[in-house]
Amino acid sequence: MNDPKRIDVIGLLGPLRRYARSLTRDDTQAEDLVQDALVRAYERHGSFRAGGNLRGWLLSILHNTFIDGRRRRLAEVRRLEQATELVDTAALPEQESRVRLQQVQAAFMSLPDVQRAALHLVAIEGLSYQDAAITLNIPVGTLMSRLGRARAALRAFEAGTSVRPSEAGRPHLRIVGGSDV
Amino acid sequence: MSDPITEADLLAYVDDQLDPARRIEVEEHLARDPEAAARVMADLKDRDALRLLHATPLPRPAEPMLAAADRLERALGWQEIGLKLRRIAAVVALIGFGWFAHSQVGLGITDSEASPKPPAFVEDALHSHETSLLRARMVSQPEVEDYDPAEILAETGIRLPSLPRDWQVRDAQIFPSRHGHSIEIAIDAGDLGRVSLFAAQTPVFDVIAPLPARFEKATAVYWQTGQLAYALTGTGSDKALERAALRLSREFQ
Repeated sequence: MNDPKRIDVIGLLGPLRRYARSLTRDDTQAEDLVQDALVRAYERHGSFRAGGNLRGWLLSILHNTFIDGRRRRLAEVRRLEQATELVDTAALPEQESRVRLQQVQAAFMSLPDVQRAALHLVAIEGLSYQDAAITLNIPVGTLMSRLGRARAALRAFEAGTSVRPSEAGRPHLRIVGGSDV
Repeated sequence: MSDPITEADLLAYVDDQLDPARRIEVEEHLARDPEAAARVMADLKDRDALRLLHATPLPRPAEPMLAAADRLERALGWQEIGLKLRRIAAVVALIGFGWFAHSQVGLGITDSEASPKPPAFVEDALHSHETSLLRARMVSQPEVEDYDPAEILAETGIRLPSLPRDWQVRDAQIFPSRHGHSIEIAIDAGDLGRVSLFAAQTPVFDVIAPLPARFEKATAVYWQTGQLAYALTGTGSDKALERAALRLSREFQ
């Protein structure tokens, strides 16, 4: 995929903007978040280890910028209407699948922030558990339990039932890969 | 089957984080557990749906974002270059330190040894220079001021350059040398003072442009043209001696 040695911030704008959209659930706020994250990254570019994982570093800064910002509370207010807007802007296949996809999107957007962030990094960006855990600054076990709960919530949403928070439980820990294993 | 399949394995299966061997074990487990299989399929479907939803191309980033990304990219790029430069500087410093330490300890080659070791004939030239100085001092040793390059060439096979007009030949002697004959000509060379032009046959064909060799009492500038080696020895300034030697050596080119 990407050559980790090459500094290509422009090429990472896509992943950053997608992640920002999942976090903020609002296109405009997502763009502002990316902008702020880029400024913050510039201010602390000395903290980037040369030859390190630029994508992980930027995603992590973006995540922290989101956590720190007031936009988190603002986003909370506009949660549901934005969820459907996002789907409307997407060019999607046939009618029936479209409805199903909208359901998934709505379920995804209704997830708690921490679960949505974990699911986005792993399922959408394809990060390894290790890299995602580093990006979110949490242990791998915590990441996996959030993923498990997020998945259970999506399944429950589609089944039309609500899931009890404890149902998915904390998965048995097992390290299953990552870039430095 | 080695390890029992856990929830974590099913999760990692969906996220494609398992090695192939474990994947197969999970798939064997799912084949015998329809309920778990259905759940995994639902998760896979959700994952693919999310990927599809987020695969929609985004509009072109706004200019300020591109500018900020570009600025960051350049800052990180400079940082990488800076790191490389620091690494290079560290290597250079190490080499420099090694150099210094080496020369301090005295293991390193010194400057004069570093320049090519003068051939054996240069030493002969120095000796004959000293001999000619001795002859000049001794009354009982008459100097021969007749200098006939043509005769020397005919008898010894040694060709001598013609000398500048202001140079006065004070003595010309033929010596036996390691490889045939050698000629020593003592000259009053104006500003250069008393110099010796030494010429000898050598066993090895070579072409050497004039090079200085400094000795305790004199400097010899030597050169070689084919099988004939020459040296201009004197106590004058090195530069002037080199210039004179250069002029003489050019006569055969």
